[in-house]
Amino acid sequence: MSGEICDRIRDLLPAWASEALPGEERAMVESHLASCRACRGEGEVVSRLLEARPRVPRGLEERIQSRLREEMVQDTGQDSPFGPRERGEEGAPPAGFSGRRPFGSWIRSWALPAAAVVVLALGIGVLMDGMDGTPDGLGPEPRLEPVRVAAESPAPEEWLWDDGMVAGAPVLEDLTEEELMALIEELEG
Amino acid sequence: MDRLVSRHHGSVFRVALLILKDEDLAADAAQEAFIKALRGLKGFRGEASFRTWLLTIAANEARGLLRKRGRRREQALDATPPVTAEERSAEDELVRNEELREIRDILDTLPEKQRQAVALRVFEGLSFREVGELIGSSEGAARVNYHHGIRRIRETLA
Repeated sequence: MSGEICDRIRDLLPAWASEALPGEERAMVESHLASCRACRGEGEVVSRLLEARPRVPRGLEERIQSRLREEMVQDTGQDSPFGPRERGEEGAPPAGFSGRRPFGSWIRSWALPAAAVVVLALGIGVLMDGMDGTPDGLGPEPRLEPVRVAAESPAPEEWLWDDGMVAGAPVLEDLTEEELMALIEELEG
Repeated sequence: MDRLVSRHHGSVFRVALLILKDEDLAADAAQEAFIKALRGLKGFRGEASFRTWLLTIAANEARGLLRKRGRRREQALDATPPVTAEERSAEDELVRNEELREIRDILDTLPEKQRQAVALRVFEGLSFREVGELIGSSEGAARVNYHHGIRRIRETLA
């Protein structure tokens, strides 16, 4: 029984030494320490250890804060990670596609419409393949230019290969939204 | 963000120091940990406390740095000179520093998991579950490592 109490008290010693225990528990620990030499000894060790806790170098906090501010300004153009993150939301021009481009700052505003245009273009291309007089879509010569209707896309020649392959992914429609956005980032990068 | 840095930078630094045993590297790791936390803030789902999440990032950052630098040899923890706010006489200060150095040296002689469990529990006030998460063991193993470590320190000091 005494062992259980000692175990419980010893678990509390770090919080007791750092004065983080609420009054009632603190009183309970101190009452026990007054009557238990073994736990008192451990309490002294924990207190000494706490005193030996490595000190933080002077200036570290400021250095980190300064670096984080730089990071936030670079990434979002504003200094809070909790505020609006897209320049467009503040009426400023979008981040665009040049310079340092954090994924989140422009991908949401450009990627989905662009991806939709690509998928639409490919879909129309396939549809037109099927309208060239051959029920199975195979003409006497293979059609290698599904991109002709992709002129609606921002930069069609960069998006579609003439065999309908996009970065090794043969079927755009099968890509998840996430894969599609990663792909777009890769192509834009 | 400033408040988060103000509140947690000490713990982040010490967790990194615990792994790297080099004050300059630990400061670099602490800074990088905050940057990564900022970038990953949207990924924080509240499954762990923010502090544990942040300390895990710091520990991972420190381990990465350790691997990168190939620093696997033990170094003295007294690379961190204690700076006390209290005013003491130079003599008292010397004696005190000697005592602190002794206990740090003893802490340094513990097996790695015991050393980390003791430091995380006493220096940072983490629960055994949190200690376990950071050192890669179960809550029960973290408790055992902590108590074994404390017992060894007591025996050495006796």
